[in-house]
Amino acid sequence: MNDCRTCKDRMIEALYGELGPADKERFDQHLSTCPECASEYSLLGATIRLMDKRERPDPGPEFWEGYWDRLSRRRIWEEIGEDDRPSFAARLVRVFSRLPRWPYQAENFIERSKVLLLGLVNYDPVTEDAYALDLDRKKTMSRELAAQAPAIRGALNDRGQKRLRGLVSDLEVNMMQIANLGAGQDLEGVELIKQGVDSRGIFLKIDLDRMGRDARGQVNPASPPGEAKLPKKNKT
Amino acid sequence: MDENAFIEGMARGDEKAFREFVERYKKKVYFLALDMVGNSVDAEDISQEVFLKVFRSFSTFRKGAKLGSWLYRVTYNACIDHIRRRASVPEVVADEVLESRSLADAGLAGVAASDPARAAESKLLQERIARALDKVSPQEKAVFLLRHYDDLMLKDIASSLGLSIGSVKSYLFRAVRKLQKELGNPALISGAEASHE
Repeated sequence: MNDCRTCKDRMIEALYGELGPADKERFDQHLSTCPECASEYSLLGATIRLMDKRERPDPGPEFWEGYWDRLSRRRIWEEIGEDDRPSFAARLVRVFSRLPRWPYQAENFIERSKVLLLGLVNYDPVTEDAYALDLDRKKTMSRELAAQAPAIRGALNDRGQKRLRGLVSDLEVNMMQIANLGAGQDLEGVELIKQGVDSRGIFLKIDLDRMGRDARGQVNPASPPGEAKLPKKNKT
Repeated sequence: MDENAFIEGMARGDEKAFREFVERYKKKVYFLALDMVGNSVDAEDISQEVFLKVFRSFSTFRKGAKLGSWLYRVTYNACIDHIRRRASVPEVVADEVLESRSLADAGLAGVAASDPARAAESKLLQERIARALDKVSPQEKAVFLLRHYDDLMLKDIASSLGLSIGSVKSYLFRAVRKLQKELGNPALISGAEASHE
């Protein structure tokens, strides 16, 4: 290899180890005689190594355990929607305006908030290590959920959705409280949130909402196997 | 269950095959969507959309093609659709939530408690990386993410995204160059190198 253009063409393959041995040898030979290409290659390599330091937040085991159940519920919800056979015009509007699926989104919002709150409520500072609570991940998730809540709440305008709207509002407050917990292991803040959840009967409201929708046939969870644990308090 | 068994099962509409398929690929699809769109709620929504689409339109899957490649392509297309849709809808974010972005948000609270200086540095680095990735186009970003984090070979990325290998190389080169330009503080890069070695 004796020209810089060919060398640049191969830099990406070289950086990711996809050059064959003969090409790699020619590539290295060029770098040893061309400081400009060597410098560029070195900078690109440093950039790639820096990108290895990027953190991708894992949503955690509760999220993955409940993934199939949430997907199944959405599938059922969408199939019920299809059975309703909306008019051709309504379908066109939905396709072109990409209308969000609010009832589904509300259900998904409630389920995810519930999983998050259960993680908090079930945490026992006496027997468990504070880091097991993984507050940072919970804060990130709650911030995202809180950011979604106003749009979901605002779209629940039907008279029959008043209770559901109220529940979304309650959970939005909880999500904001979690998002605003202090840095580090803010266990006092966690305790206050737990008391708030308890005094406002949040889990009871979630269960009532779920039962109401089951009765109306809007969801058919069929006793999902990975359902989240009830708060420890309710077990006793 | 191997890939052929998935394909046969899903072609028959077999629920068990679909479930195993979801369990095997859910993390890959979710993380690609998360990296592309930047928030976990949308990433889950997109990932579910992808699996349902794959299940419902399995009859369009070309025999002999790679299932993983098809899945990546469906995910990529769903993300691009989402990004376009989002561009036309203003985002509603509560002020309190925005204000809550504190030191602990980058997953650094534990570090912050023991070493605030290191936590601050690390947070700064994560922010720089996130900002740098934002400057990369969706196509370049997808190619970079698949190569760098999913460890797909260039030819597999080409077949997943329906591009030529030349285009993949070109997108990837542009992506890394843009990242380098954005992260271009030599001290920062050499610092990272030093800690890498």
